[in-house]
Amino acid sequence: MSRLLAGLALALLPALAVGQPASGPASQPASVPSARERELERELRELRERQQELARRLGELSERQNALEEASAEAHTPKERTFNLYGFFDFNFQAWWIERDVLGGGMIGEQPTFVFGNLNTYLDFKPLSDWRMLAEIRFLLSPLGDVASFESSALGSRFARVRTTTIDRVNFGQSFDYGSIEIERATLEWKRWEWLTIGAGLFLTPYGIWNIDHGSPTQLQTSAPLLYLYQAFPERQLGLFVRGTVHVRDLRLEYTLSLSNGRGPSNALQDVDWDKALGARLAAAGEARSLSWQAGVSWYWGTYTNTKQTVTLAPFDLEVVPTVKYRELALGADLTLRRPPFELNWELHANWRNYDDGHRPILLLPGLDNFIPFAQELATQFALHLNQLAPDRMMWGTNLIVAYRLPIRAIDLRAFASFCWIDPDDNYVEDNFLSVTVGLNWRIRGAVVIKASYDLGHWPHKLPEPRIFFGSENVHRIGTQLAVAF
Amino acid sequence: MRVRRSCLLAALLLVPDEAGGQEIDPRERARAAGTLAVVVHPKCPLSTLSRTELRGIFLRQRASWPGQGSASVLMLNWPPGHPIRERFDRAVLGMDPREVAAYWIDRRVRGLGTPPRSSASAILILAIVARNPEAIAYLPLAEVTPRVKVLRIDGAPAGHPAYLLRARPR
Repeated sequence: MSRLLAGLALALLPALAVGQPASGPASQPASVPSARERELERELRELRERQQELARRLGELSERQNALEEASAEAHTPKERTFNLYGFFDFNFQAWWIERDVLGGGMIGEQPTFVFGNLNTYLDFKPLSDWRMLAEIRFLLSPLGDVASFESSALGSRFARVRTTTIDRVNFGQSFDYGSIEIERATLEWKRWEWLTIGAGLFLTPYGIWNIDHGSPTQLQTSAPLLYLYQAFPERQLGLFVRGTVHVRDLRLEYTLSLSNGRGPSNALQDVDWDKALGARLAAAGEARSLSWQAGVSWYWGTYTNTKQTVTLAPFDLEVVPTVKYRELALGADLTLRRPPFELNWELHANWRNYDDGHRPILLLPGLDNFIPFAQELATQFALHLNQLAPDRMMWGTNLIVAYRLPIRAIDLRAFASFCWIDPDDNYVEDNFLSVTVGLNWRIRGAVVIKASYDLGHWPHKLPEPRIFFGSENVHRIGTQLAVAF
Repeated sequence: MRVRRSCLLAALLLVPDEAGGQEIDPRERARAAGTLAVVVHPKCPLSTLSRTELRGIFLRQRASWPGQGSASVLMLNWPPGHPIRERFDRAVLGMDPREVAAYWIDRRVRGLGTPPRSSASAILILAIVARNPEAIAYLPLAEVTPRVKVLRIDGAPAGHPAYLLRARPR
């Protein structure tokens, strides 16, 4: 608009110049203006007034334009104080097939089933430019209907399920089943420089690929590599951390150091020993031609302590006695290579666990003490143990995923295959485990992902007798997942 | 005048990233085919950036100016689906629109934060860069004003045959 008005004013200038009285000596005698001259003088006055009016309006419009631009820039410059709400959701369908079932089939459930996976919400708040609060909350339908105890006439126990049904006070006569929530992380961070961020709270342990990718829309597979069942590192920790990034030429170096309660029976609530856990991660990333890469190493050292609390009457006291105590060291390494259409993810985890003599737990049957908590509960309830104390152990495992983006122009469809090898504890039994997965990952406009995969789990060494969990050397699983980020 | 007003109205429609999917105006395609300039505040100490540095900034993998560890960078993008954005993403980030959308979603899920704000208005982008010493953006070279500074890429000035974002031949 200002350009248009300026053009109009410029166009008027020659006309005004024509109407200007000729400059000349003041001594020239004035002649009586003719009617035509008076008419021209009147037009000239009007044009001058019009020029002044246009110049005034031009000035006003320029000021308004500048003010609008400034206001827009001010309004849309990213603010110090922001709040964002986002998250992801996934819905699954899966089926297991165990060739010869013992307990595993009943516990996992061989019937094809729909599964409500994750409904995670992020609360991302920046109260000040250098501060950020991030909370991620997972909503679950569990534990409704989960098995609370198994029936055994020998032990006198009855079968029971968890019941979370209550009366709906709003809709009279109806009831509903309440679920549960899990706080995945909740941290407050202060970041003044790129090379230093100081944080506090509940944070995800930065190790491996799956734990950093974290959410189903980002992860390639339908479920975590079995390597993660063994939790060589704690999935999350409560404590303090510092992290940062430095750039050396085209190389990006990232570090994280942490101090936390470490692993424990109630580590999310409080530490029950004096030993704090230490952790560290160092990662480097760069590019070479069309290949981008990232490599990382992670380290964790901590003490696990479980205690029992006993009330004594004489003297009256609450005595806290350690029951299980071990020191653990975990090491991890990971590598990501991307050269479209190929992608490779590799990770290795290892964990050394050394018990304090006098605080060793009873050794559960091989494969159970490292397996899902559900299995540990089962073993505890039915006293499935070898009647000996757990030895020190070292477990390690590795997982490799190779993905290939299919050459279909219209869709982002990747085929992937993964190989996982786990040596859970080579100190007392040959229970090494191998799994192979093949699948497809179709990413629709980035936010919606459909996945399908087939997994084969295999114990290459004959399982030891008595076979409690799985009766055969092979377990099969088909999984599909629909994940969406919002 | 109508064009100017519509630009101002468009300026008010700053959208968060990852939207995309709208019809593309042929005039916008023509705009995007010209030389694109990477602009910063005149007081910004830099005069050139490498493609890798530029990529790091626009992927939020680099939060400060190269060699200026304490100064944070405020980057401004064009909306997803805009031809200028798509051209920049392909040339500098080496990503197509699907990969870019997936990249920002992945960062959010990992807890690394949200994508930068974006605007389809060169006027607004210029105004923001002109008033923020830490801002960086890109826009058609023909629309750049003296209120901002144009950076070289890999040492090549805008318009140079070796310039990464030079005009595409028709």
